[in-house]
Amino acid sequence: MARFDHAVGRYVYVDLDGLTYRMYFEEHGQGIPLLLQHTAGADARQWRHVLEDTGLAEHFRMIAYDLPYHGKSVPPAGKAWWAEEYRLTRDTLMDTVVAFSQALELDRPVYMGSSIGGHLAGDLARYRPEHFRAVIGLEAGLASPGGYLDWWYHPKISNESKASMMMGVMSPIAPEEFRRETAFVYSQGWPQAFKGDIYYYCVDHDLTDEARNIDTSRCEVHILNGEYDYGTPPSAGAALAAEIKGSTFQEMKGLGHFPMSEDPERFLEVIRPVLDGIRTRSG
Amino acid sequence: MGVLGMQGFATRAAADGEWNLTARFWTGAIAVTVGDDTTVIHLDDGHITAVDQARAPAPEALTPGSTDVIITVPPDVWAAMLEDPPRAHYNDLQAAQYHHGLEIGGDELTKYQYYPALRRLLELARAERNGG
Repeated sequence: MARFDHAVGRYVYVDLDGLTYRMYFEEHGQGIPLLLQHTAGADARQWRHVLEDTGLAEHFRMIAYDLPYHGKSVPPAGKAWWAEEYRLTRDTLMDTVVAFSQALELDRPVYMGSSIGGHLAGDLARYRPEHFRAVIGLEAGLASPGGYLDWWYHPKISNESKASMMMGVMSPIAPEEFRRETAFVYSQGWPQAFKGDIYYYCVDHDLTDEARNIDTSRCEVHILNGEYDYGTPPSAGAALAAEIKGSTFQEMKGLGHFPMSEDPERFLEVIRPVLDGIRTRSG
Repeated sequence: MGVLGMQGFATRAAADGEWNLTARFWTGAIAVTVGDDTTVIHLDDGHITAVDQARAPAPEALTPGSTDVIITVPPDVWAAMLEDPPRAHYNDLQAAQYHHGLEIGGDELTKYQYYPALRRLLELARAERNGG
């Protein structure tokens, strides 16, 4: 008898800025929609462990998607993407997630993401609060300047090097098989994707002067940063949360920059109460 | 004396599958300077040809700008990096560079190309230090 995962994958067509994107996603569960955003240069495989959680699936329709140019979401037709440098901007990223949610006809989903996805949580709460009942930013911060480097897309540097550097932002006490799997996913991205995504992470995301304007009565904000994340350490998440009245912050002990994939069990122990609280307040 | 954790590096690395994969084709040197001690690992086409112990700074034989990488670490930071498990931001070369004063000099392109080998070097040194 075959053994299957609970998550099922399919494609949806998303219209945005005059182009049509064929976006891949995997989902499991029913109830409150919960969008799960991957990190820079990676894809939705980072959420495969969380997607299998049967407890969360009782109350949440978990949906992990690949951004365009990532994973199974191939570039759109009608654009010479191969002749220009890929660069992810804040507006494009926000609009993509909102358009994807609308294509699936979701009713004010909960949003959760890590790294670029963590930064995006704050931006969505600031600029697109009407579309989300709550956002959860993992490895989030006000800004992360200084890391937009040519080395991230260089003909003499392989994706293996980028993957190896990601090992360094993970927790050394996380199970090695999951850390290696996280790096494996990183090694497979489109060579341009990581640098292009880092443009958003390091340049276009900056809530330094705007975070205080986030209204958590319209959209809840929860920030959680891993102890071993040296790029956006717990102090960065705490600084962001301190600017947002009504937000929550938690340091995730023993976790790093990829909590959902490097140590899923430890992460689930931390995130279940956060999601339970959102569900309770959602009525 | 030598650098803590680097005494048996050549033997340990030669038997390590990950090191041999990640260091392939590298002709150059890696210098690890901790306080007054330096260990220099010489490589030819990915194979270790010699491991020299010297007084710091790194010997003149190293040529910044070629394919050499020079890692300089304060002794207390290096000792913390060799703990098992290491505390937060002592677990990785770049983490310690960001937060604890470790420096990675020499050829920057080589550093990025061979970061998988440099990362493994730290893990092997940690294993040597802890008898793993």
